[in-house]
Amino acid sequence: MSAREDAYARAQQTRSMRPDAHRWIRPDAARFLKPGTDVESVYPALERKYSPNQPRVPAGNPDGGQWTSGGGGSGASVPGSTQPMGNIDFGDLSEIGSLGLFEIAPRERDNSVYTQLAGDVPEGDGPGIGHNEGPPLEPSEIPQQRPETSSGRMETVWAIARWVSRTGRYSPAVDIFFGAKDQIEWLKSYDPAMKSYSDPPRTLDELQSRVSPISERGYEDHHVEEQTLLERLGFTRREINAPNNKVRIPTLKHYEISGWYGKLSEEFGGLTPRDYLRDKDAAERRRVGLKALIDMGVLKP
Amino acid sequence: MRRQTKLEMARVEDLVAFFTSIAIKQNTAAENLRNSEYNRLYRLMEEVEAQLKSRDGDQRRALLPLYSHPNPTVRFKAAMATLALAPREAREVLQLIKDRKEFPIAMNASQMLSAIDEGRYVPS
Repeated sequence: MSAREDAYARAQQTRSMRPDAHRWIRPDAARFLKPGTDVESVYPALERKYSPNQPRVPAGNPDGGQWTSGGGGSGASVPGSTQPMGNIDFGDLSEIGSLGLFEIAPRERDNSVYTQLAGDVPEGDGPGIGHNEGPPLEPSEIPQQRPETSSGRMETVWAIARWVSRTGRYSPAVDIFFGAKDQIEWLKSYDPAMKSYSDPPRTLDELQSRVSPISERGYEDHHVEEQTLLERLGFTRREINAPNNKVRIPTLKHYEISGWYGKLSEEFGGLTPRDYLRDKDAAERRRVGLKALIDMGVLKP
Repeated sequence: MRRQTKLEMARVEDLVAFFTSIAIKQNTAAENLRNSEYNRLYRLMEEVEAQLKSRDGDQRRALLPLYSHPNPTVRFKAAMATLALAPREAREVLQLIKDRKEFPIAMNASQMLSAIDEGRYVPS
């Protein structure tokens, strides 16, 4: 990609992230949408247009006077900043990474909004259940240069795939995004995986019939009864790879489910699913394996 | 000073702030499939939750305002910790995480809803 193309691609992407991104959306944008479609739901930037009624952070606050979403317990958001994928910055959290340095008293940051001790479920005019900002309406910013590490690259890939899944693979916003993103060379090879992440759930027959010795970009073969567990239990390759134990599913879903087997879980009494299943029979292993596929949105319930 | 002692000496509002920051870290770890970090934080979270439960009047109720936190794992962990105190509201939180497809924690939310319905998980 030439320097000029690179600059163009960067401009295309960054302007959609700007607080004044609505300036680049045609005033007659609704003409290009299906009748009855809410324009602001397709072009979220329109919602960020100036409004005299938009709340501001109260005076006396470090961000006093700046616009805020006013959308719940998240506190003020800084205009112009892209919402990170599901995170909020609470300042220095280094004590968590080094438990010996754990300092109990919070510094500087006022967490009072999260520490009401009234003991009541939020109600009335205050923030209530789900009255937060919800998932971000736009993907996080994409680095133009290929991140050096695999984990750095995957961080971007995960963020885009999850955003597409929430927004809808065939929504106009996603189409526009993929159009602009296509000019980022390093990300192209991840397209099949990012897109297949939003596949609708399918029947078990459909997932099993797709298994093949021929690889398919964006998809991987997955074991219903987890491969690692069966190996540890001494099963043979033939048993592990039995046709009724294999399904072909989106690559990133495969990674997520495989990772889930190693994560501690309340559902399994504080064990990982893999440890929980260690002494269980085939029926329970299969039940958990199928349920994981359903809960990940891969298999129809 | 031992961590357990520090937790015992902490104010409830500090424990809530710590709970929140652990969950935010867990969310990032889960998003990037860093299981060992996620699991270490899980155990730490158990200690904080146990500490809140042990306080007069079961101070896990101080986690209820976290139901509206923007981070899905904070909401999930707060709902799980308060299922016994506010079952209907906590369940709504889990359902919303599932419906919004806030993966990866949406998978846990979906599983917990089934486990509760089928009686495989009884909150205490």
